[in-house]
Amino acid sequence: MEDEELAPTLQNILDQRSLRWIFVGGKGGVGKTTTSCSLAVQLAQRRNNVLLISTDPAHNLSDAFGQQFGKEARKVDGIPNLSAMEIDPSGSIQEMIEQANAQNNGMSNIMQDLAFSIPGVDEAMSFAEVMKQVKSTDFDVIVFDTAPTGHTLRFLSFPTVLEKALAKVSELSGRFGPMLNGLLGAQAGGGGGADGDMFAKLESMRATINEVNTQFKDPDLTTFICVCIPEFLSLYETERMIQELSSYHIDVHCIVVNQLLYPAKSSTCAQCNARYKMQQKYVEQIQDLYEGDFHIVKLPQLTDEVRGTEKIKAFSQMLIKPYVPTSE
Amino acid sequence: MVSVLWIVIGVVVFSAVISAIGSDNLGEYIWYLWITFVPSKAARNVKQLREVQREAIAVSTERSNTSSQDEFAKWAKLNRKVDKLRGEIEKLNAAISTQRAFFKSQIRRVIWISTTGMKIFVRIKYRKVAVFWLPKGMFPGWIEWMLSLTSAPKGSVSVAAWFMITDYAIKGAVVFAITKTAEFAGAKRKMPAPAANVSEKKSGLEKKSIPNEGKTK
Repeated sequence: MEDEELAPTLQNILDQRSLRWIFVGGKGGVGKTTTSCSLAVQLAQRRNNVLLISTDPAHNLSDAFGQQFGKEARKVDGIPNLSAMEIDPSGSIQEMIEQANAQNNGMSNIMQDLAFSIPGVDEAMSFAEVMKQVKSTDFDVIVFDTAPTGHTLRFLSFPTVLEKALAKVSELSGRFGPMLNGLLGAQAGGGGGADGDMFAKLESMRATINEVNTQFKDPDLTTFICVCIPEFLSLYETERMIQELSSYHIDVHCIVVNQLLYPAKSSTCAQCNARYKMQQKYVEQIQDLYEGDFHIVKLPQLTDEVRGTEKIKAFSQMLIKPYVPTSE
Repeated sequence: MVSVLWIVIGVVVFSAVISAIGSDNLGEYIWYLWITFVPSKAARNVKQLREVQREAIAVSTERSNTSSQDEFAKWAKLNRKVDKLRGEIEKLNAAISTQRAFFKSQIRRVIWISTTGMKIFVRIKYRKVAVFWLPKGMFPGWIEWMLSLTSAPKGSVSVAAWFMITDYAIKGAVVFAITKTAEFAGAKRKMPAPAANVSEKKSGLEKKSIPNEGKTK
């Protein structure tokens, strides 16, 4: 009964107009970029301004659309209303180190060390970039193509971690700030002033982080789409990821199963048939485990790569109209 | 009315016994009795904890008997259940340990009142009373004066002095008694193996001394 209510498509995502943040994640080469690009293309047909962001240093978006993207949002050729951005986390860290080295301030060195020891500083950099970009231009919805290393969850839990870290730093600064100012007062003539600024900046950052945190936990505003393949390890990772997302109170109600094989009935390929049997076994398990609560979209393995605007547009149709394998 | 002499001795013996057992140990024993025999909220929590733990073990065993490759859905559902039960166990443990800490602090308070509190009370109430009279002329004047500190009539032993004397005597006695009992109990456990000892010596094996032998709580 519940099955009929949860269509095996991503139409529900397209229909939910309040959504602002959509994360597409899954571990290890399962087809995240293809799915996120396809979803972005479909969304662009129904919204005014869609942004597609990738934090993967391997530049998948540029490869997928055959167009160079960078730190600034750029319009995608051939698809109106869609812009794309590729953030390189390591590049941002380099910049920040250079900036910080420029001010030879005893206090700022300590703050630097502190800042770099916060867990997930890479994610922090991506986060900072995103916040900067997003605050400047108005986008209706932002699709994140997450990094394949599975650090997505660290990224998503980052607001909470950073909030706690900043709370601690504020507390410490309140207690030790005056003392340290006195100690370093001799060396850092203008240091006192700069530190005051820094703490004020941290406070305002904390407010922003808090706001983002609240938005991520609101199911009307944020959702997560798990992409997987019908194999044991991918399934195991998906289950683990879903449990972890629930513990962070991040909404997840869509699963995309990719790279499904549909060998022709007359096929004599031993590997294809064996793989098909194994995949079907896992697809059954997926249905059994997730059917009542998740939309399960099944995408086929195509004979050629999904690269280039036209192929992505064609592939994206399968997100709304379920693929029916041709039976021979 | 029991004479002050015996009241003081009673209080000091009681305090010495309690300090020998240890107020923490005492708290534990009484807590254990409390949750076993009294139908309190804490007892209910402990019972529930044991049930949940049993259930968690059962589900965990079932899960390890399920092949995650062949029956992933069933395995995953059991996995979720185990995680949920573990969460419940943690919550119950936290609740129980707060209750236990509170209970033990109450016990500690009662112990304090009945030992130190009693001592203070007795000292104040009977401060002018002579516990017993010293035979005339036995001790020089200055000793008599010291023994009658602070407010007892001269020539008698005051409650404060009597407290000091009994404290010194009984504490030593109680500690000695308890240590000897412990040694005796430890020695009894060591006893059955005199024949083996002899044969080991014959085979040339040295009986290594075990560092904590004979030491009990």
